[in-house]
Amino acid sequence: MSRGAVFDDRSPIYLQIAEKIKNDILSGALREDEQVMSTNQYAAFYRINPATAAKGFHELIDEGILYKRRGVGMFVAPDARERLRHDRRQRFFAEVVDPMLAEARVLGIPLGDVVRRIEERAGQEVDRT
Amino acid sequence: MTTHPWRPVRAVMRELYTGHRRTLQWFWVVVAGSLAVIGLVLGAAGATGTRLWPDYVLTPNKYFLLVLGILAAATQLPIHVAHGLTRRQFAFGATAYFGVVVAASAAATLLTYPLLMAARSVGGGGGPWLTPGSAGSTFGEAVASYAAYTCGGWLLGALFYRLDGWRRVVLLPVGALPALASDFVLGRGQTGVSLDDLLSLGAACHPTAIGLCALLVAAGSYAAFRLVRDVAIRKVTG
Amino acid sequence: MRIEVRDLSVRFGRNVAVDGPSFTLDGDKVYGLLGRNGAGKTTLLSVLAAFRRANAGTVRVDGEDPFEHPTLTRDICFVRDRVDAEDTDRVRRVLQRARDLRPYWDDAYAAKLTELFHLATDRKISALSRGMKSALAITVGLATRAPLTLFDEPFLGLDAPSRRVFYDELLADYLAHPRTVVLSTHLIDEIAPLFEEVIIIDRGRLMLHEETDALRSRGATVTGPAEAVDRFVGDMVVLSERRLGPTKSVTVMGSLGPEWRLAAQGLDLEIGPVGLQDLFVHLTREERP
Repeated sequence: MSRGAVFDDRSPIYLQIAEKIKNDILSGALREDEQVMSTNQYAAFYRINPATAAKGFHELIDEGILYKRRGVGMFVAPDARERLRHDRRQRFFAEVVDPMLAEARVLGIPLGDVVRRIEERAGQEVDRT
Repeated sequence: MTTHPWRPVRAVMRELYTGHRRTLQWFWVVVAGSLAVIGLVLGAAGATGTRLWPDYVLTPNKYFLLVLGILAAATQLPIHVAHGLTRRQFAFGATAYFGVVVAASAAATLLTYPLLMAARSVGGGGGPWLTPGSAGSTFGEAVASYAAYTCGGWLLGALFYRLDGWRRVVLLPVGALPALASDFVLGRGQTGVSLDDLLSLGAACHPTAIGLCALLVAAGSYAAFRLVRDVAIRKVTG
Repeated sequence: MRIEVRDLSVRFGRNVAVDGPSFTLDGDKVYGLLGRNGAGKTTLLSVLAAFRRANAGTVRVDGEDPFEHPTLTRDICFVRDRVDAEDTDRVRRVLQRARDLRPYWDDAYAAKLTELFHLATDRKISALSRGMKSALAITVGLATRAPLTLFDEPFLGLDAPSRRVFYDELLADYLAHPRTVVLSTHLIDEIAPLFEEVIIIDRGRLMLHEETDALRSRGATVTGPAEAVDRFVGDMVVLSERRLGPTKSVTVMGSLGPEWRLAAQGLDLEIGPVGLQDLFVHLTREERP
């Protein structure tokens, strides 16, 4: 996969950059207090304008996900992961569950079936632990 | 911050010389070589004074410089502007450069005389053709003729680059004027008529002729400069 | 460098190539100059490069007219897909000339670029393929390190791998040595991410001048049942329409924020993005609905 094709047209590139970094933090690829690539390195690697990269980083600094150490670089904030988890949890029901239920309705799947499936999976989870 | 001291006129001179160096060297090798051969033949044949020299050197050299002049305006000017120089900087640099080339060519022209004489004595001998005093007037004539032809080339090149269509066709012959006029003035034209004939100046012709050539060169250079100073650089083909 | 263009007009006989655009490029950024063939991009760049004079209007680079301005022209480099040299010159002669005439020339960088582009230094210009000529022109343009570097579709004839090399080198060198870069192209999608601001020229006139990200979010497609689409779109600026049976797809100019998207979902309409290339095609079409 080419490095240059990582971003698409769905939203401004700087927001996509911010999303990528957030995903990396959530997945653990980026750990707390770890230094992130500089905007120039990011720009060169993904073949985008450095100002765009900087805008994405500033978005994250504003949200408190990253912080800047003068003369050193940008780092992941110590509570970033928790904060992101919290945000995602807030949005989970509105952005993931509700659309899923809407889709089920469109397909004519009764709500009961959905619930049963969830309970099955919950049971499997319990068995595994 | 620049990587080297910025002296544009000198840079242009160095640039033009780098481009011409080989050609100039070969030109003089060919001229010197053929003169040596001719000298040997003349010596062997026991020939006495002829009009061979300095015409044999003057004619090819002036046309050679004409071509260099044309190329300077038509190709080197746009290349230099494309590298960040102004047209004015190039014009000054080229003028200084050709000044040196004209003087050096005139000096080299003079030096071909002893070469020819030496070759002739090797071939068979014979007395000198010219009086010692004629070195000065030959040098003056060479400078005047070379300068006029170089300037003519420069003007032709400028006309060619700047104009197109019917304007170019009509005005291009104007570019030939400095060169042709200098021939007329110096008495070396193809028509056989010269200023000397018209004005009956006799021996005093030379300084007048050279002075007139200087005027021609000044006028031609000025015209060329006007053409070139705001000419648009077109898409380069190639 | 700061570039100010006011009411610029350039005419060739009766043909008006540049028809009065005005804009300001403020600061060292990578600017994209977009326009169709014949829109006037090359002519505009020629005037900025002091290659030609405008018939009317003004150009100011750092406050002064660059035409025949020695300290400014020295700092401007105009890169086209042709090499500014004689056909009989060899590649190394071209590089040597640039070394002698360009005050910020970086010889080591030029050597690196000739290797990256597989340029043989002893080859004559006349023996180079079109792509090689572009590569050489780009090499000279980049190694010149001019504070104002103008590229006019420099990669015509370059194959895709060489274009990648160009994008990477341009970006890397711009990061290491910030300068003002203006690049004209119509291979938009490939290089759009490098542009910080975009200027669109159409038929010699300025169509728009915006930050790339802002422009990118300014277009959207709305697809769904025809009357629903029409009602939803209302009086937004429509760039193009397509119909397939009862379904209609409309490209509009206008940012559709989250409220719009929710409304669209409710009406069973699909909102999609419009890439910069598509937006450009739509904006510069001959006939508009």
